Amino acid sequence: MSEAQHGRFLNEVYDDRVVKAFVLATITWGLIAFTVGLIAALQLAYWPLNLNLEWLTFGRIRPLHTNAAIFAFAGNAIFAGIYHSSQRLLKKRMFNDFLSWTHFWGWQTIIVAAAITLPLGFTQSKEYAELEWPIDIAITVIWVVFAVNFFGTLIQRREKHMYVAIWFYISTIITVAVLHIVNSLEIPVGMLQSYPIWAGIQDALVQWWYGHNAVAFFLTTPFLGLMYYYIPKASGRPIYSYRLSIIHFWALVFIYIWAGPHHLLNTALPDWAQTLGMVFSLMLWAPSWGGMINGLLTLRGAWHLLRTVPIIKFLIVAVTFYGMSTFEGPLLSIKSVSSLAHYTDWIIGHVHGGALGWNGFLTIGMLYYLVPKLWNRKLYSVKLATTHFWTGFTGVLLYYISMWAAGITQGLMWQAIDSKGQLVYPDFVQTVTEIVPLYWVRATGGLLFITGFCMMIFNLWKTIQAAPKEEFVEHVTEPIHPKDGVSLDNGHRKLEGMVVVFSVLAFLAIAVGSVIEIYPTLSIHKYIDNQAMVEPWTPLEQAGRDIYVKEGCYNCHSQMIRKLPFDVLRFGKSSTIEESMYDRPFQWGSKRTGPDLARVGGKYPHLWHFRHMNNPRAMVDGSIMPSYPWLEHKKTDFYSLRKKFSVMQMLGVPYSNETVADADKIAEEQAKTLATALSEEIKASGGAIPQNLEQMQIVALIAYLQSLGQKGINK
Amino acid sequence: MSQDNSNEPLLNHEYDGIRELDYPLPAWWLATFFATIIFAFIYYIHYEVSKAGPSSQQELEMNLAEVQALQQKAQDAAPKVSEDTLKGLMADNGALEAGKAEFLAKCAACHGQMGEGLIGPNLTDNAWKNTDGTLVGIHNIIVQGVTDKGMPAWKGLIDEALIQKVAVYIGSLKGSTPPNGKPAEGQVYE
Repeated sequence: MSEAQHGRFLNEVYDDRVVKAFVLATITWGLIAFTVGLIAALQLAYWPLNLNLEWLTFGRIRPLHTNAAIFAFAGNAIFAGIYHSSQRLLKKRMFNDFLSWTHFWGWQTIIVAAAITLPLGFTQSKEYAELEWPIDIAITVIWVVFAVNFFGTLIQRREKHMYVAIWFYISTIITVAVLHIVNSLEIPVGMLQSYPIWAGIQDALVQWWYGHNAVAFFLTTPFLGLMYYYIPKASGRPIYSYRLSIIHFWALVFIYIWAGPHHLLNTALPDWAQTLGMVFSLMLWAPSWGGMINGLLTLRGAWHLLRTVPIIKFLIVAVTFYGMSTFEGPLLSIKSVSSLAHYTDWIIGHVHGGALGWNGFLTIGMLYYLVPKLWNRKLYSVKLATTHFWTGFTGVLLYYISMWAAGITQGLMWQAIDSKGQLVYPDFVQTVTEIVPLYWVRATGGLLFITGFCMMIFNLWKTIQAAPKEEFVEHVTEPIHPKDGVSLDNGHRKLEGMVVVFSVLAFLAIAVGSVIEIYPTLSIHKYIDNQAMVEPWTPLEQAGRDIYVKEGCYNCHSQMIRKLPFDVLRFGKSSTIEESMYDRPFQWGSKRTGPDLARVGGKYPHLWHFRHMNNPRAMVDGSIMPSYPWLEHKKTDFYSLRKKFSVMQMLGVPYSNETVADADKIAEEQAKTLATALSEEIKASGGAIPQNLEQMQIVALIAYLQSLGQKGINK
Repeated sequence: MSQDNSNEPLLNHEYDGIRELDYPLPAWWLATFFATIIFAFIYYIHYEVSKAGPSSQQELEMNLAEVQALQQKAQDAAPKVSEDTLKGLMADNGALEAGKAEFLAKCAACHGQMGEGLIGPNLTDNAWKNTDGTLVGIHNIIVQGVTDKGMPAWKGLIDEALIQKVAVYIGSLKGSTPPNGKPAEGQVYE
């Protein structure tokens, strides 16, 4: 029992076992997430590291890295911090031990499932929402378990008011649930495959509403909550400004949710949504900095701690990186800045300033605080922790600066138009080889960050090893009914005592922006020009499209020619809403490590693609793309096409009943025709024709690539 | 917990030993916040309500018109290509070298390192599919491409002067009979 009565007092014993479990999981998954990130970084610097193995290509590894970093490393860190701090801030053991452990083991199982399915190519291709539908359901269930456990604790709390950290936790739990469920609305077409109910601009808007707010409500609000607990605890200083907490909390949660469309600036997304995304991103600057001010100025009068205590170094530098990222974010959301930075490595640098600097360092600071407390043993080596700090800090700086340089260099090369009205660097690959040296610098930065992390693992392991044998259990003795008594609260102070009202308001704050932005695109036909309609994909093209998604091509190739002159000069007419109106999932992309593919169809002969997929360097000197030789001997899944097309028809794609019923046969016919033409080209060039070519994935993929941009009036 | 400092606006809040001060909102911070809000309204109204600012489509068209004007000017200024000017260029070893370098960079992937043909046709024989094999004809194919057959139009991607050098380099390959030549395609022109 967690509660033992002592007269009018209760002895509350905290559940720190589950906190310890989350701490160890954070460390373990952190090391894995960073290492996979380093591998991905090295693959960009040195393409042979793709190893010609399908489950180790960049397109499969990169989603593994992002998911591991966000949900495994940051996720477990959040849970460790929330379970630890909430019990103490609420003077209450977690509501239910069974729920705590279900949450822990459920989450680890989800991570393992992700680590298996992503390299195998089971993906929805929506960034940070790649996991397929059975895992999506598991995430929902485990999140509800977490929510029940948290709100149960909140309702039984022995502290009348909720501290600002708790506000941020509430907002996190509610909003992540909303984001995950709405973005994951999908129809299964197989055990591990599904199509989203959203298509084209809807899917793009919903995805980046989700994607941006994964940053907001998974990587920002919970970490602000942790900051509000661990900085005053570690420094012994009071929080700088209570009223700043109130203003910046509500402003942040209300404004953040609108900012998603800044990921889609200058695209085919309707102008009003782009403009809203931009101006709300700008308004987000001050509310974000409110958190930074409260974090930094809490150290007023105790700045010497920054020199002497490694925990404070990590926490304060984390907050500083938060400040930098949240200034850079609004800057990048300005349409003209975005036209330079979007699709380049500047964005990768921006993200890692946040991920390594803010989330990474805050978590590391928290771990250095937590492990000695939880295991009741002082840190093994303060000196080693200081060395960790400087090693990691140098790593982050190298990462950040090299990606700025790479992104701005490449962005300027893409934009450059000479006095004759021609692109100065018409060869895309030229803009890639130019920045490869910076990819080596970035990888070095990553290696330093990991080296520092390993120092921490050693330091914490030695600390735990030296811990007393008997388990240390922390408890608090409190009056039974501290909530009783005359209340003189008013205003926000009153709200801090009302869990339900507070939670409802926190929900409404994020609901407003969500509804206003997403609702209009639900009736997508409003934006469709009937004169510019396109034909949906043929069955073979759809099969090829599924291969494109499975191989993770979207990680490096966009399919969205922006309304920018240099994009149009390089790739052709700007993309329209109609051209992606049947696309499930949309493939607009977010990064151009390779060129845009929206109009690649018909640009090259089949044989060019055949040879290029086998070895990109045979066709494009200096290319860093992985080779895909297995596409020539892995068979296309024709059988599932009928099921897929019936789902597409149900979702409103205008396929006839005959097309649905014969989808596999139609695809096989088209494959035969294409394979015959391709075989002749191979023969004429003196190459070897693979056996049963018409059944192979390469044929379906070429059919898809050749149809890109060929469907509408813009052909 | 907190260090004693009676000047600090300390509130009577306490959570697990954490105390809260209540300093006023920094003025520069408030000013920034209000400035961004005011800017947001003005910007949104300017572009989306009053439509005083151009839409992104209009802006693209204006920008493209500028680029096209530059292209037109450059085209008008460029010397006209004729069989004679190109033949003259063929005598220029420097031009042939430059043409060869560009050929290896852009054309060899499909036409082979020696023009022997691979994905695209053999360029060393006297058979041609889409042109008559004159230097001007070769030049024009490079400029316009054969886009439905996968030969890109290089206009805008390769500078006009360099296209001429590539054309004469290709012209110079005639009859070189490299090994592994692709069988002749199209019509024979003598």
